[in-house]
Amino acid sequence: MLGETSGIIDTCMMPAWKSDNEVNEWFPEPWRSKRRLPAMLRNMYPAPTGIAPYGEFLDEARGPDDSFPGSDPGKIIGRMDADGVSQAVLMPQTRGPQPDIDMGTVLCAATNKWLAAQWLGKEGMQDRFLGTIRVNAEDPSAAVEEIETWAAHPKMVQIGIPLDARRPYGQRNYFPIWEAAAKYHMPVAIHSDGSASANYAPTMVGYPRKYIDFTSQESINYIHHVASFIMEGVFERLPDLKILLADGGHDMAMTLMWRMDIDFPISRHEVPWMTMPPSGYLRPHLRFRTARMEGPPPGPRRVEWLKASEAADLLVYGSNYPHWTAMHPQDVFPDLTEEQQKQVLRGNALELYAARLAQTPVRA
Amino acid sequence: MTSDVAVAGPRETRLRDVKEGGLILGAQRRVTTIDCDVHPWVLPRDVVEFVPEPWRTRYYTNRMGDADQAILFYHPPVTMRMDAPGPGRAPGEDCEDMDVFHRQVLQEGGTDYAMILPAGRTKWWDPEWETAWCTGVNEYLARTWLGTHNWHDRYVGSIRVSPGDPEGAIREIRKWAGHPAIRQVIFAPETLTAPAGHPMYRPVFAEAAAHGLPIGMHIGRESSMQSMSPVGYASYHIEAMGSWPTYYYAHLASMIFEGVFDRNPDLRIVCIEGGFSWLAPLMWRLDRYWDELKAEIPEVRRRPSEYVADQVRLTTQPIEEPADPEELNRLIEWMGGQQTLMFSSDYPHWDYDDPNRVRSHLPESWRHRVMCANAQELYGLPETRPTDQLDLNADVLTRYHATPPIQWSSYDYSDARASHAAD
Amino acid sequence: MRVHPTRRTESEHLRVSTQPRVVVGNVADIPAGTMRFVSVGKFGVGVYNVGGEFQAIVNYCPHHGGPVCFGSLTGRTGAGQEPYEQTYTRPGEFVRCPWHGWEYDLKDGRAVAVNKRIRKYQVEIEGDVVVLYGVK
Repeated sequence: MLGETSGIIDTCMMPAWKSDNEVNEWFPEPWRSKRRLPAMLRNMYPAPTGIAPYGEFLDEARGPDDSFPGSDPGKIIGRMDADGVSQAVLMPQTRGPQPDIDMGTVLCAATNKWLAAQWLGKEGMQDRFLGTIRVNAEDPSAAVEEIETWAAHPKMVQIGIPLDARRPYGQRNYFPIWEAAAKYHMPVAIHSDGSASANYAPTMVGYPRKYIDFTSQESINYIHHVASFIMEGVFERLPDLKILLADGGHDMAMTLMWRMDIDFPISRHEVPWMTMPPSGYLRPHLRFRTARMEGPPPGPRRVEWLKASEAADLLVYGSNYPHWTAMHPQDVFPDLTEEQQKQVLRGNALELYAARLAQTPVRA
Repeated sequence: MTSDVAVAGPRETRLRDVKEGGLILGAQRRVTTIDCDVHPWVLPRDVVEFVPEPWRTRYYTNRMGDADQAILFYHPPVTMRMDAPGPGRAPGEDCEDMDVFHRQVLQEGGTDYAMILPAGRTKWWDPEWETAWCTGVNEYLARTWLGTHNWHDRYVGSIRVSPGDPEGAIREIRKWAGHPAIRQVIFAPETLTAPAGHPMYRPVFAEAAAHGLPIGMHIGRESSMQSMSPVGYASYHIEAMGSWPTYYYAHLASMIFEGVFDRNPDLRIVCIEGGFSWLAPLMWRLDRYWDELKAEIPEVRRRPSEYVADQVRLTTQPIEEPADPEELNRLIEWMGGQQTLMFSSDYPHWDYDDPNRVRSHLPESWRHRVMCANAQELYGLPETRPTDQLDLNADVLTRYHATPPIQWSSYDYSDARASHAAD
Repeated sequence: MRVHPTRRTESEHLRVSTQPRVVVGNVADIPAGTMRFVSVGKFGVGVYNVGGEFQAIVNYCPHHGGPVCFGSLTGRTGAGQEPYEQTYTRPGEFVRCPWHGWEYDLKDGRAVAVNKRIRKYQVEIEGDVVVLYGVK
C-alpha cells in the first residue's frame, strides 16, 4: 500500500461538460444555435441505474446543480489528493464518431478550447492537469490542423481519438494524423467515447442484449486497431509513434500477439514491409492503461502472469475517474514489486510523455 | 512389422502398447491420441442428391459449384497442406485418394480416433437454405466418411445444423442422435446473426443437451462474409486472424450471461480451431464483471469461469508457439487446460498441427488428458481399441518418402516412388 | 515476453563431409528449375538446380517437420521504397513448405520470415553427374 504523496501520474481522468447543451456555448455559429449533439450518456447499452453499477459515471463526481459527473474540477482534484496523484492527464469525451464529419470536427475544436481555458489554464489548477488534444479521426486533414493548432500548448501531452471508428486506425486514410502526432512527439490515446455515435455492432457476432455482456467486452476492441497499426506498417514508417490503449485491455494483449505471430511466417506476403513478427512491435509502441476489471485474481498465478505479460513495462496508471470502473493506485497489482509499482504509477507515464514534459516540468 | 501376423481371439486380454513393438491384428491397444478436428472434402456434386427440394432444383442444378466454391477475401496463400489429397487441388488434378487420407490422418501421427467435421460455406443469410444444405451434408457424411470410408471405425463425426432455423436444426439433431458414429453437432459461429445466447437459439442448445450431444463451434474463416469487426474491415488476412477468436469470446460471454449454461447443465460446448491462450484472461475478466454486475442477470447463479470449467472444451489448434515452452505450460495451467483442452490437428488446413509435435510439447503430467482423455470423456470413446491393418502399416516416415498425391512443380520423385513401392 | 526464437542456429549448418557419396543423376537430366528427390537419410533430400547451381536441403522443415521438398518453388516477396509497394525478386530460388508455407532460400537455407535455417548438404558436379555428400 502506497504511503505519502509520491507523485503518482494518473493518465486518464475524464473532465465533463456540465450538461448536454453546455458544449454549444463553445461552438461558432450556426452550430451554436442551430445544431444539437447527441447526449453525453450512452444511448445503446446504458448502464443500469437502479442496480449496480448505478449509472455509467459515479454520482459523487457531480458538481453543483446536479451537473454531469466530472464537470466539477474540485471533485477531480479532491480525488487526486485522496489518491496521492500529483498530476492527471485529462481525457475529455467527444461522443464518438458522428455521422456529420464536420460536426465531429467542430466538437473536437470546441472541446480543446474549453479544456485549455477551463481546466489547463485555470487559476489554482494549472500545475495539476495535463491535456489531450481531441481530434476527429474521420477528417484527417482537419485533425492535422487541430494538432498543429495545439501542439505548442505546453500542457497538451497527447492526441485523443475514440475507440469506435469507421475503419481500423492503421489504414492509410488516417496516416497523416499519426504523422503529425509523431512529429510533435505525442502519443495517441484511444479511449471509449460513450454516447450515441455512428458505430458498428460492438462484437463480431452482432449485438449482445445485456449491459454486462456489452461492457465486459467493449475494451477488447482495441485489438482491431492494434493489429491494423502493425500490419499496415504504421510503426515501420513512424518508429517513434506510441499508442496508449486508454481503456485497458493489457489482459488480452499476449494472446493477440501470439496469434498473429503464428500466422506471420505463413502470411507475411501480404505485409512484406514488416521487418519483424507482430509481437516485436508491442514493447516499442504500445502502452495500456491499468484497469481494475481485468487480470487474474490474487495468488501465485498472478505473479507468473504479471511477469509473462510484461505488466510492469506496459502498464501506465490511469484511474478512468469518474467512470464506475474507476480505480485507485492501491488497486495496481500488489504482487508487483514496489519498484515495479512505482514504474506503473509514475515512471512509465514519464517515459511515455517525456518529450512533451520536457517543456513542462512535472510536479514532484 | 512382424511377418507372422496372427489374429487374436475376441477375448484377447493382454494390452499391447505400440511402444512395445509387438503388433497383433485384433489385439486391444491403449488409445493415446484423439484428433478433434479433421476435415473431409465435401463437394456439391456429392451432396446435392441429398439436398431436399425446392433448394436442390433452385440452387444446385447448372453450375452448382459456382457460388459454393467461390473464394472469398482474407485468403491465406494456400488453404490446405499441399501434400494432402483432395479434389481439384491443382488444375486438372483430381486426387481423392482415401488411402492417403487415412495415412495422413491416422497413421503418420499415431492418431487413434479422428473427429470428422464438415466445415465450409454457410448460407447464413437464409437459415432454411442452410438447413437444406446441412441435411444434404449430414446424409452424405453418414454414408461416406462415416460409412464406406470408415471401414476401420476410427472416424467419428459431427452433423451440421443451422441454428437460425431452430425447427430445422432440431429436426436434424433428432434424426441423427443415436447414430453410432455421430458424437457432436456443429455450426459455424459466424452463421449466427446474433450472439449465441440470444433467445432464438435456445431450443437448439436444449435439444442437443437433451440428446447428450456436445455442440461445437467451428470458425468457417473464409466461409462467410460476416467478417466485419466492430471498427470496420481489416485490410489483410493476417490482420483479421488476430480477431477470429473474438467470435468465441462473444458467443461464450453471451451464452454465460444469457443463462444458456445455467439452464442446460448437461450442455457441452466445444470451441474448435480458435486456439486457447485467450480463455484464461477472458474468464478472469468475465468473472470480475459478474462479481460486480450480476444483479442484471440474477438467473446466472455461478461465476462464468465455473460454467466454463464444467461445460466448455477447447481444441488446441492452432497451438501457441512461445519461445519459452514453459510459457505454454503456464498458460495451460492458468486456464485449467488439463481438464478443458483437447488435441486437434485441423487436418488438412494450412495451419495444421502435427500430433507428433504437439505431443512432444506437452508436459508428461497432462499429455494423456489433452491428447486423449478429455476427448474420450466428452465423445464417449473407449480407452482401448483393436489393432487394425492401419496400425500394422503405420510409419511416420512415409510422409517423407511417399510420392505426394499432387505434384506442384516439375519435380522428379522417382526415387520416392521407388521407395514407397517397396513398402 | 519473447515469442519469437532469436537464438542462433549452429554455425556449421552446412555439413561438409566426403562420405557417404551418393550419385543423384546426370546433370543433363536435372535442368534448371527442377528437383530430384533422393531417398537417403531419415527424411530424404531434395536436390535442386537453381539457375545452374545445385543446392540440396533435407526434406524436413524446421518449423513442424513437414516434407519441405514436396512444396513448390517461389520468389521473394519484399517491400519497395514507397508505402505499400511490393516487390518480387529471385523467382524460383525459394522453396515453400507444403504444410504452412514457410519459405527457405535455397542458396543458404535461411527462412524468409523467421530466424531459422533448414539443413543443407554439399552437392557437387563431377563430370556429367550430380553428387550428394554427407547424408547419413
